[in-house]
Amino acid sequence: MGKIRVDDEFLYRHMPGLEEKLVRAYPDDSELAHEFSESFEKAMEKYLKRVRQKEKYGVPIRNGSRIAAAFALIITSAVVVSFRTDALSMERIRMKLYEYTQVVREKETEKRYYATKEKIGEFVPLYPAYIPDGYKLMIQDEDETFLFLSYERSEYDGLIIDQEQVKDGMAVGEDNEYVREEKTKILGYEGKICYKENGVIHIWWESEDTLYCVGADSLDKEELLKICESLKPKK
Amino acid sequence: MLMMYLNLVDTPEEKSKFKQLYDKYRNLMFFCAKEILKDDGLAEDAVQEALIKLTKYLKKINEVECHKTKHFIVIIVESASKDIYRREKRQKSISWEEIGENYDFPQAERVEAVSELTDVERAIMELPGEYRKIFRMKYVWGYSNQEIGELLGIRQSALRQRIARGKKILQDILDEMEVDTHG
Repeated sequence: MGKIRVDDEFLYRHMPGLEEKLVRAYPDDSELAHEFSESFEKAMEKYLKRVRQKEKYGVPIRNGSRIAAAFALIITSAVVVSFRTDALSMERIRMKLYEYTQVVREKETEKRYYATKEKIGEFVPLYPAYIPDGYKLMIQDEDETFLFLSYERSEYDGLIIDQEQVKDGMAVGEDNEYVREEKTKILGYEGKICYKENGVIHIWWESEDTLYCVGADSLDKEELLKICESLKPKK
Repeated sequence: MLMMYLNLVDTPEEKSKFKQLYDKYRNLMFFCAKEILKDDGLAEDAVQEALIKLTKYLKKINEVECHKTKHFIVIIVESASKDIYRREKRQKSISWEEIGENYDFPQAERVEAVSELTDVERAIMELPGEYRKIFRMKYVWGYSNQEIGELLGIRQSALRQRIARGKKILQDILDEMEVDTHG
């Protein structure tokens, strides 16, 4: 007998058997009978009026919780930017190997990336040569397009280093609820240091084809920058 | 009412599929929404929002009557329900049972009423619903991280953290239960 190790293989082995039992627990038809109300049907008529706007502007409607929102305009013929008018601003930015559209909303900035070349080069993951004392690597998750490293000093004191190669059509939401941001350069690229009210700091930057984010619960800016600048490919 | 939804879809094939999905699953959607929201009116709101969201994913649904599709429909309506749950919680100063955020259908009591669980399965059912939901999507139904993030409204880095944390929590549960490789 041996101790169980919870990894991907373990979950692939055990989850399907449990899922079969979960499916058996779904209610049968006798529990499901419901007559929808007249107000339900009327409310759907309102939604349809908004849907007709789709034909007028030629944009797909992104339907989430904000059903009452009106629609953003297309800003170029090639790129559809936003589907919600809670956007505060929008712009299209061209980089070397990809371009992205950026929509700023109240709580997040959504970036959607489009490859300008048919094939982007191989992803080269970077590893930190410096990690502050006391942090232990808990998780290393990777494939051919991303590397995610998670360190912990204690249960509530963590550090993450996240890097992912841009893929065509990829959408990323960046937290907007920062109390302060500073521009900076990381490994020669433009980046920014973002401060949350609770003391958490995130550092974001982009190379020609990869997005990077480093964040920690309790490290200060200098320590985080030291970690970022220590990132190197494995020899 | 059904004709209103059909205007949202594009091709005759998608209209037919949507009608089948609507007929097959609307009551299940209401059932799940009501489990989270505890209110008929809000549950119907959630079903409306979910049906509109569903039109976006029609091309990804192959078979109408299969477990994967049923699970997908439940995810969509749970997501819509939680959006409404959060909105109601913000707008009204009433105390809501804290079931919404961590909800993953079906709940443990329903499962244990119809099936006997192994020790490992029991441990997985003890996980908070948000982690179990992600594990089901990833390790059973084969959703990519990108798809999971999009469906649940989670950033990729946050999703990876949740997967990592979910594994750790499950490890702790299993260690505490002293479940070994024969469990």
